[in-house]
Amino acid sequence: MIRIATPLALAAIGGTICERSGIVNIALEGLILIGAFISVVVSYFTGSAWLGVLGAVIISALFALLLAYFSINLRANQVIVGTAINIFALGVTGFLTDFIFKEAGATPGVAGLNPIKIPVLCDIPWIGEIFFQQKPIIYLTFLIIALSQFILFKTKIGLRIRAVGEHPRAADTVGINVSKIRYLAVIISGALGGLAGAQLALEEIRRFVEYMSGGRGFIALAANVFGKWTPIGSWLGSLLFGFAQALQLRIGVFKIPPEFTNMIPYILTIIVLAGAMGRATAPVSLGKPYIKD
Amino acid sequence: MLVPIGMIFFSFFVGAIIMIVFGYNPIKAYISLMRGAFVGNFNITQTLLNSVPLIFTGLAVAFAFRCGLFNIGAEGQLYLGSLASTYLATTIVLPAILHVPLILIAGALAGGLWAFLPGILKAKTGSHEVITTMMMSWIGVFFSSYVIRNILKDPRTTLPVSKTIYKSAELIKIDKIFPISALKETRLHIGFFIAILTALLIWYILKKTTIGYEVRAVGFNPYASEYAGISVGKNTILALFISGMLAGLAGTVEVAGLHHKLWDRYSAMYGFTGIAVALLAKNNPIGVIFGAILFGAIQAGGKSMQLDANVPVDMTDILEGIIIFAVAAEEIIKMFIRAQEKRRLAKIGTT
Repeated sequence: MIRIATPLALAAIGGTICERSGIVNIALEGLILIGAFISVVVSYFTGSAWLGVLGAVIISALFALLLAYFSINLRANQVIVGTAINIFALGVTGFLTDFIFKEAGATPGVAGLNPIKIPVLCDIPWIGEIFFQQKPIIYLTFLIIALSQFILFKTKIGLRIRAVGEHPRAADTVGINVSKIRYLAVIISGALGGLAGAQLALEEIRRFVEYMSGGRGFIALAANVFGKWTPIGSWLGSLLFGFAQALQLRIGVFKIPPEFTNMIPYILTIIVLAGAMGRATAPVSLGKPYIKD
Repeated sequence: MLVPIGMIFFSFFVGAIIMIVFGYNPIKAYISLMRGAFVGNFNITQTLLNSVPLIFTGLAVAFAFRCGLFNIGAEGQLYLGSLASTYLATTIVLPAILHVPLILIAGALAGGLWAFLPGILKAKTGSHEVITTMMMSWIGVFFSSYVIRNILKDPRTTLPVSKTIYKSAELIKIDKIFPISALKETRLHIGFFIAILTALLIWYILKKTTIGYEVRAVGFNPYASEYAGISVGKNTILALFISGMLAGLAGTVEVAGLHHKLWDRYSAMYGFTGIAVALLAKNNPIGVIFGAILFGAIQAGGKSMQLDANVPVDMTDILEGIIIFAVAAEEIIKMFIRAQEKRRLAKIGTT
């Protein structure tokens, strides 16, 4: 469950940070896909999975720059730009798989990341197996969840990100550079999207398969809403989806058609949005370009 | 009109640069793309055939857009449309004159219903339609999967596909109406004309009717509309419902006209390409027809581009992405042109 939830959690936290600053990030799906692809390519040619992770983070962050530039400087519609990134990512990863490996659809297998056992703690029954015998990016994710929650709600930079998403003009008036903060938030979301892709590719599948992101970016958005735009909440939302998926793997026991367990996160998101589980309010200036005059 | 065409050329230019970088010959690629899309009866009709679902999804996105709403869930609405129509086309026996209209109506209503809920939620709770339509879309895709694999399933095969629809529910082939040799061997069906007529109808509704006026007024300025006595809530629900109906028709026409059975996950992201089509058409229903044909041509030509010029077929997605980027940036280019103009005028003024 934690394994399945990890790429979702990473992407969802990226989405949370981005949307807190006022930029809608529909592009998460594409950013995960690009991250997954780059991590495999770098790992393939260097033999180092860690360089693959680094490459994924950097390249996805660069792609997120496109979203930032179009929505902040050019004031384009953010949903449209996100859609463009998603379609572009699908094309470019397929194109390059074909170009580099002369194969359509999937790359050869590559060096991935192996589980790390944390001494002593991993011997604790049950808990040790779940929390202390995991793969490295899963550990990193726990760190990122805690860190991002802290940064977003307890530090000056976090306050600025939230201020820019709620009331950019007020933030501007007190001397906060709205564009700079938004750029920062979008780039972080790109980096986390890339990391999510790398996790999926190097820790789970160990190769790149066309459209392997499989809608996770959209579920991450759902987790985002579910978690009411907080990192811990997004993580819990991701766990819920992980739970639904894990349930599906044990389908023989429960006899619930997999299609219905797949629907759970989406249905819950709609219920949350409709206000049935307490109000989920998006950042006030979400999706609106800021025009400084 | 000139700006979208400029954008298309610009996008193809950027695509050419990408091809050069990767050592492909863009001229050869584009020639084979054009040939694959427009040369020969089979290719032209394939382009038109590809454009049919895109006209409907493009109209769906455009109509909602006119009301200031972003329906990004056309994909799910399309599946619900396919599902309802396939169900009625495989279970009920009727003469064609009744059967075809019945499944068209059922498909449209099912798609409309799938967008109706986001409409209600938007009107009553303010839930953002970008998220709700997207969530409903995934629910619809999974729901369709379930029904196709468990209820409508063709028992004669293990593949995830429904039973074949009754002949009476099929949309007739164009060569049956125009029995000329050029149309023989092509798969183009009457759905293409239904799509064109629907585009004209939507244009008429938007331009000439009260409904259209109110929808556009809400899209233009919801506050002013509310003040003028136009209900924002009612029009939001109505616009999303009609939008969903159009997407539902996309699915219905694909099944009844082309596939004659419902495959699980058969849609090649028509819902999303519809967004690109609507954008390119600046939400003008007539423009949607041309936008859809352009994307239909890119898809039809993509295959021959791969065969003749060895360029991976994924280049077509890259092109689509660039076109959307270009359209998103279009306002800026217009701003830039206006600024240049102003500067030029200022210069004239000072000399």
